[in-house]
Amino acid sequence: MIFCSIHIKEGMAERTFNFSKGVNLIFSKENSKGKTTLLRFMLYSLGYSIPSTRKIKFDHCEVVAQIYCDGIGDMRLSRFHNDFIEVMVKSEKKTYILPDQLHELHSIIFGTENQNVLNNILGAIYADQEKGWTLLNRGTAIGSIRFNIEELIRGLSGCDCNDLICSEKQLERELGKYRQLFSVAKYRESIMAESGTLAADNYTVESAVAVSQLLIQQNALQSELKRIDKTLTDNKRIRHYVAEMKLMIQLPDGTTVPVTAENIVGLSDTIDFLVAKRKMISSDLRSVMHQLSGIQKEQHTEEEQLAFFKSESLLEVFDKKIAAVPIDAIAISKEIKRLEKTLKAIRKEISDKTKSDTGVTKSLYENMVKFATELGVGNSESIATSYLFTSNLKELSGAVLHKTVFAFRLAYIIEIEKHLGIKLPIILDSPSGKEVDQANIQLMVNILKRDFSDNQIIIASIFQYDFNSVNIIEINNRLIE
Amino acid sequence: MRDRRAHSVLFGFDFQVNAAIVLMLENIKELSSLRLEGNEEDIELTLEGNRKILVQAKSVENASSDFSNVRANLKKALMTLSEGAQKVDAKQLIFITNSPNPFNDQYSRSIFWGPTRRPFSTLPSSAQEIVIGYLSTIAVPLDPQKFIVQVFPFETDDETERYKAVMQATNDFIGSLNANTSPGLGKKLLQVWHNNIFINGSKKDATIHLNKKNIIWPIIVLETDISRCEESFTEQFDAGVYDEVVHLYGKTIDSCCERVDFFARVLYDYNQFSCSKKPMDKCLEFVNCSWEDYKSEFAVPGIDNETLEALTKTVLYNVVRRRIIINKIKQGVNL
Repeated sequence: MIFCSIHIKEGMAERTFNFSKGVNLIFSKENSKGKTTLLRFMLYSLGYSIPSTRKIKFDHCEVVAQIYCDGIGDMRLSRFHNDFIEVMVKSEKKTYILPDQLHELHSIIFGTENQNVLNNILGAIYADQEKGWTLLNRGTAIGSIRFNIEELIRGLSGCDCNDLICSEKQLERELGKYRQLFSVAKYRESIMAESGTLAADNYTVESAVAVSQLLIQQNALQSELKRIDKTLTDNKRIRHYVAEMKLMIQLPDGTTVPVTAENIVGLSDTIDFLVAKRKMISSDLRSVMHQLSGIQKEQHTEEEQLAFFKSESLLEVFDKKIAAVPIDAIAISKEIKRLEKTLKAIRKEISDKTKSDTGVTKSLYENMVKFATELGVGNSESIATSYLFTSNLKELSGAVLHKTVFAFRLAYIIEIEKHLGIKLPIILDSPSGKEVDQANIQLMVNILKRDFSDNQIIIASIFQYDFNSVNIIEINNRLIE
Repeated sequence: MRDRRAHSVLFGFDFQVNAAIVLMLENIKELSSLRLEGNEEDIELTLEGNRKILVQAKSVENASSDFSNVRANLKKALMTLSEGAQKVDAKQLIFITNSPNPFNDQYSRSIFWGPTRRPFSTLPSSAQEIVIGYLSTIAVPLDPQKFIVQVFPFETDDETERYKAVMQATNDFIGSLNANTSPGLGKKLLQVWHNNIFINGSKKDATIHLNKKNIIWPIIVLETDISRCEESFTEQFDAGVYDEVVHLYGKTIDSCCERVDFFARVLYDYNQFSCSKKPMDKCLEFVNCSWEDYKSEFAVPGIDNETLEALTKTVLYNVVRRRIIINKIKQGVNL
C-alpha cells in the first residue's frame, strides 16, 4: 500500500501533498512547522482515531487521501468528520461509520479480516516522534491505538485465543470491581470503628422508600395517561375522518342512513369511556403527586431542623450511606484472591498458546537479530528468543533503545508483509531524535535502502538523509499556506 | 388545636355531597344533570324535560344526640326552598338531613329511624303543624304538597359508619343495573365518586356541576377493567395464566379494546357470528371459534403458543364484553 497524495483543507486554506513511491522526506528547516501534523493527517485519512496537534483541529478540516492498495488498486478516502469516512473505489462510493466500521475499512485497505493483525499494523509501520521510539513490543502507538506483540503473533500465526481473551477481560473487569468494593469495605470498617452510631436512621430510610414507591406509581400513571391520550387522539381523528367522508348506507328496507360517528358501533362510547378513564387516572395522579410533595416537604422540614441542630456534611451523609451497605471485607478479599489466581492461569495459557507457534516467532526473532546485529546492539548470542516478549525496557536507553526499537519494527513489518502479501509504507517521525549520531542514522538508512527498497518510506525530519532519490516535501512556515 | 369551624364546614360539605349521591341514585333514570352550591347548601337536580328538584341539605355533627339546631335548620331550609320555588317550577322541594329527629318532636321522632323519605302529606300532624307554622312567617311560601323531608344516617369520623347508608344506596343501585357486576364494585365506585367526581377543582367557586355522563361513566370504566373477568372465561386457562397475561400485556389489551380501528373489526365479526345463546355465552363461543383469525396480530417473536392463545382470546373477550357491559349499564340508567 502506498500514499499517492493527500489534500487538506482548513477553512479557506488548502494544500495538496504528493508522495512518490520511494522515499519521501517531509522537511522543514525549523521545528514546529507542521511535519508531525502532516503525518498525523495521513493516518487520520486512513480512518484512525488520531489526536489533533495543537495548531490544527482535525475535526475542522477536510482531508482527502489518494492511496494505492496492492489488492484493489486506487482508492480515495475522504474524511470530513470524525465520525465517518467516505471511500471511493472504482467509482463506487461507500461510507464507513467510525470507529465502529474501522475494521471493515482496514480489511479492504490491507486485505485481511484478521483483527489481531489489523489492530497492530499502525504500531508496526508508524513511529511517533514521542512514544514511537520507545515502543518495543507493547504499548501505545499513538493516541489510544495500542500495539501488542502477542496479539500480533496470534494474528500472524492464526492462533485463536478469543475465548480465553474474552474470559481474561471479563475477569479483569470483575477483579477491578471487587478491588473497588474492597476499598469501600475497608473504608466502611474504618468509619464503623470510629463511631458505632453511623447506621442510617429508620425515618430517613422509610421516607425514602415511600418516596420511591410513589415515584413508581407516578410513572405508571403518567405512562397510562399518555397511552390514553394517544388512543383518544387517534379515535377522534377517525371520528373526524368518518364525518368528512359523508358516506351513506342503504338498509334492507330501502331507507338511507348517513354514516356518522354516532352510528358507528362503539366509537362515541369509547371516546366517552376514555374521557372518564382519563379523568379518573389524572385524579389518581394528582393524589399521588400530592402525597409525594407532602413527604418531600416533610423530609425538607426534617432536614432543616437537623440542619439547625447540626449540619450534616456531605462526608457524613456519605458515611451514613456507606455504613448502611452490607459488605464483608473478608469475603471480598477471598474472592479477589480466587480471581487473581484464575486470571494468572488464563494469562499463562494465552501466553503459552501465543508462543507455541514457533514459525512466526522464529522468523520474527531471526530478522530482529539480523537488524540488531547490523545496528550493533547485540547478536544471536546476547539476545535470547524470549527477548521478543521482554517487558524489561529499563536496561536499554538512549541510542541503544532507539536502534533496538528500529530493529523490532522492521522485523514486524517483514512478518506482516509476508502474511498479507502486500508492501506497507514505513512512516518515521524524527528518526534522528534522541542522542543518535550520524553514524547510527546511516546504519538505519542503509538497512532501509537495502531491504526495504520496495516500500514507500515517509520520514519527517529537520535533517537530510542519504537516499538515492528523495521526494522532498518542504514546509516553510505553516503546513497549509 | 383542630379548627372546629373548619372541621364542621368540611363535615357539612361531605354531607351535602353524599346527600346528592343518594338523591341522584333515586332519580338516576330521569336525571340529566346535578348541581351543588357549596355555600348555600343547595342541591339542584335537573331531570329530563328540564324539570327540577330543589334540595336543602342540613347536617348536624352529633346527629343522634344534639337536636338543639334542628328546628332552626328546618326553618332556614323552608325559607330557602320557598325562595327557590319562586324562581323555577320545581317538581319536588326536599329538606334532607342526618338528624333522626328533624323536628325535635317526640311524636314524629320514631318515624325517622334509618333512611326515610316522607312527603308532607305523610308526616305526623305534629310535624305538619311545625312546617305550616314556619311557612306562615314567609311572604311567598312553598307549596307544602311538593315538600319532602328526607333523612339518612351520617355520623362519626369512621368512614364505614359514616357512609353506611350511602354505601347501601350505591349497592342497591348497582344491583338494580342487573349487569352481572362483580362484588366490591359499590365500594370502589363510591370511592371514585367521592375522590374524583364530586370534588371541586376551583377554589373560588364552590359550585359543582355534573351531568349524567360524568357520574355514570366511572362505573363502566371500573366494571370493564380487564383484571375483573368472569370465571366462565378464565377457567379455560391454567391457573394464573389469565392474571399473568393481564399483568404482562395489560396495555396491549386495553389499547385493542379502546382503538376503534381494532375493536370495530372484532365487533363486526361478532355481529356476523350467528349463535342463539345469551350475549355473554355468545361472546365465549365467538372467542373460541374466531381467535385463530386474530392470533397473527399478537404473534411477536418470543411469545409461546399458550400465551399467544390466552392473549388473543383475552383481547377478543374483553372487546365484546366491554360492548355488552356498556350497553347494559347505559340501558340501566337510561344514558
